Amino acid sequence: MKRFYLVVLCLLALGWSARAQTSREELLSHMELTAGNYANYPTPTGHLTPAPEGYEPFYISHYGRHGARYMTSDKHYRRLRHQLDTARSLGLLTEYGKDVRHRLKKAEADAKDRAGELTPPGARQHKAIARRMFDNYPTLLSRPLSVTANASNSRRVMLSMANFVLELKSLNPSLDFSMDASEHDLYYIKSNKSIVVPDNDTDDALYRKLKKFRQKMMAWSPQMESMFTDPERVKTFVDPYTFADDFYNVAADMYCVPELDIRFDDVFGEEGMINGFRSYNAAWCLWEGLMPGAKTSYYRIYPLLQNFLDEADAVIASGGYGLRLRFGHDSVVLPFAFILGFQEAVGATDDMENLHRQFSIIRLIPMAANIQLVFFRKEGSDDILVKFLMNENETSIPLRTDCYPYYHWSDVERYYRAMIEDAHLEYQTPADDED
Amino acid sequence: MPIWNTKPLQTMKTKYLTLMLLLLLTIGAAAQTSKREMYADLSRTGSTYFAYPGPTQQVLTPAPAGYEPFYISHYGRHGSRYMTSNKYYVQAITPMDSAAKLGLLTPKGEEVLAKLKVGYADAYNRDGDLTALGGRQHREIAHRMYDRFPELLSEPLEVDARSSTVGRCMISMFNFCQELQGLNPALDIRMDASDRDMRFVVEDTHVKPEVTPEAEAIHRKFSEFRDSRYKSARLMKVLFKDVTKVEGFVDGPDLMKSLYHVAQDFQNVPELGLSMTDIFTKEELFQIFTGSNAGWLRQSGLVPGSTPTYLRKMPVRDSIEGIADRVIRTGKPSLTLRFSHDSSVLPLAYLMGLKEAMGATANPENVYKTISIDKIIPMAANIQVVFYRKEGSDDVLVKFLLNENETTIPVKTDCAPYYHWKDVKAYWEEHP
Repeated sequence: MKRFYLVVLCLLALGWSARAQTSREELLSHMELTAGNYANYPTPTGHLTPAPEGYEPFYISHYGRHGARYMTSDKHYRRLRHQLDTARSLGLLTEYGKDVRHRLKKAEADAKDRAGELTPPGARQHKAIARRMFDNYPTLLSRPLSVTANASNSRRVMLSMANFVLELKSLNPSLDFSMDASEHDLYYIKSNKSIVVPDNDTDDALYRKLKKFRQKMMAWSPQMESMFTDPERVKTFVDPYTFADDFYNVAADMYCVPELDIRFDDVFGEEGMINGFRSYNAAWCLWEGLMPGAKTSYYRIYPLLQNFLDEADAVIASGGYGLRLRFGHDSVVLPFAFILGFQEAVGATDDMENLHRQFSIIRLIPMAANIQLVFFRKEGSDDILVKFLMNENETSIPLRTDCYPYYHWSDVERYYRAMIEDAHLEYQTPADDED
Repeated sequence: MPIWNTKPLQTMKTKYLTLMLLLLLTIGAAAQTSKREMYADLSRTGSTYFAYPGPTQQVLTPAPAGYEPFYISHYGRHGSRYMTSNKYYVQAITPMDSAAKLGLLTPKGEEVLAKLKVGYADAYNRDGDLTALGGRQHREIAHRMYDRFPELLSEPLEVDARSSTVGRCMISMFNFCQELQGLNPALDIRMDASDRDMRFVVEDTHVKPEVTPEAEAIHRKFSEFRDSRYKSARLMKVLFKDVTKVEGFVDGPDLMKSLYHVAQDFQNVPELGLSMTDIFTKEELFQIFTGSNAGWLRQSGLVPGSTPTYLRKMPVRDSIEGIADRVIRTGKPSLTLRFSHDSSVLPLAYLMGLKEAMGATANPENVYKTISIDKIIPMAANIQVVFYRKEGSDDVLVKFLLNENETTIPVKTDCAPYYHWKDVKAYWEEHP
């Protein structure tokens, strides 16, 4: 008996639960979330629906972003410090400005030679996710599985993988991990740049709109003005937007190095931090092609989906048990959630002022963000069920099912394979490769 | 992770007299590999491609009565890897493909070309990656470490593991740590691979030892010797039907060099089931080895009069010493792991005074008779410094393991292969 409930869009409305967006109220009570894609991994709700009677988990397929990290480049620190040094030498810093500069120097010193590296909370985030995975699926993960783990070749990602793996190893020494981080596997671990993203007529206008929106969101806060005795004079050698944007990045990254105990949120104030979040929320939505009218850059994530499908089919066919781990970046998790049709990632709007009411990156790409597909089967039945977890919380995809949050794999697979086929992916020859 | 403090970099001292005296004491042990040994195991002629052979010493010398191990400082090279660049595949396949199109390959040449293509397809986009064998080597070393020092490693230790920022070193570290974690789930393992630590893990690239005219002359001499080892006339006849017809587009020594690298790296990807060393004679492989050996010793500054590039590794030795002293002070048992490269293990072995790395001569022809790098820097090469103490005593003993075999340093001791740590420190203060 085959199921054919391939209803797509009409179910999206049902899928938009409260968890897909954010609100000013929520952000005010959880300022740490204004760090956006720098936000520390939020502990999952812990609510997991039991599988239908007789179904047992036999395979987990995981893709995770690296954990908390230093900023990927020192450029924000460098620019800010040069600008504050200049203001200081001109006698333009107020006492508050001097205090901010002092903090900035401390944070910069700590980050020296560590650009892009995983921080201790980043390692802990991955250990905690691994431990919960073990606790949630003990019957599967107590087995002596051979596990393949691939990371992107960026060090923070590799170390995230190793922390995840070591935690599982300590829980079940009979797990046998084969870890790799090779150029060889980047075609699915990262956005595949050899896939052509078709041009469209609307993308440029959206980028112009985004630029204006971000300029508005990064307007100087009263606190920022109060760093200087003569803010107008400072703005003759400081680009106000870049200055605010640099500070937002620094302020957000401080959440990744809590041991330092330095904050810059006061430079923005609560409204300022929220606006900084909104600036990046809109930017990420457009960059990754999730905004209506954006170029379909998420085509470049289809090889990852293909990898999930093919490897799942292989495990299903083998009748065995498995765990598959992949580690990468926010620039993959976000569009991957979108092509999977997760309720958190679909339904964005180009109304940037109100976008966060429908779409919020804090649901999607905090540090250590991850997507898990958990597969279940029942003895004596060919039916395979799968459930989808966004940051370890159950989520929905735009397919009908009689056992939510579980879906019938035969439906799911048919839906995704048709989607890949419909995209008619084109690969550019190496000579045309823009990167 | 805590920042690794270390002593300020020592200024270079030239204490040749002491050094020479000490060297005289150490020459003569089985530090080198004889030609006969090489012939018996041709994989050794792979030089730094030699896949880790495992320890020859099965039973370690027991510590003096009452002494217990409380700290191990491990320094390891990454395990078996793909060639760091696939250029040797390209440089071999391109001319041989041309010869094939002209019908100038012998059946042996055809066979070699086919193997090259299989090997290249496997290695594509894997330049410098750790191979599966490389992962296993590290897991086995970790496993043996656990088996050899169970009284220490079964404790809930803090393990501080740091790697070079190069991927194959990190994956080596992950495999090593994975194995230890499985053997003792209570280990608290912290891993890192940061630019901030490279001075203490790999080398300090800011150190630029003076290059004297004498050193330049030695450099030329050793490089010429190394490059002249590729005598290709016989091999060319094996591969090509008519050598004169391919001379226009095949450079014999270049092709031989490329084939040597590919053939030797095959031992690091055993799953492929490819072997190509049979296209060389034993003598050819041995000669190429002696050239590579001499080149490495010169490059690391171990040849008398050559540029002392090993000074770049002084911060590593200082750090090993400094962290050990800190552990001794705090008294808390622990384990420090560093993962790096052949270019650091070799000079570090010299800086520590390990007998296998001492006594290089200035003659490239026969320097292999005193130092053979297959004994020092095969894939997954490692140096372990194991620290022992005795209850009620301040005396700390250490022993040195090179590739998991006990070795000696030129320091007087009443309990070889154990040394009094204070004597080791005094020796390091003076050497080099």
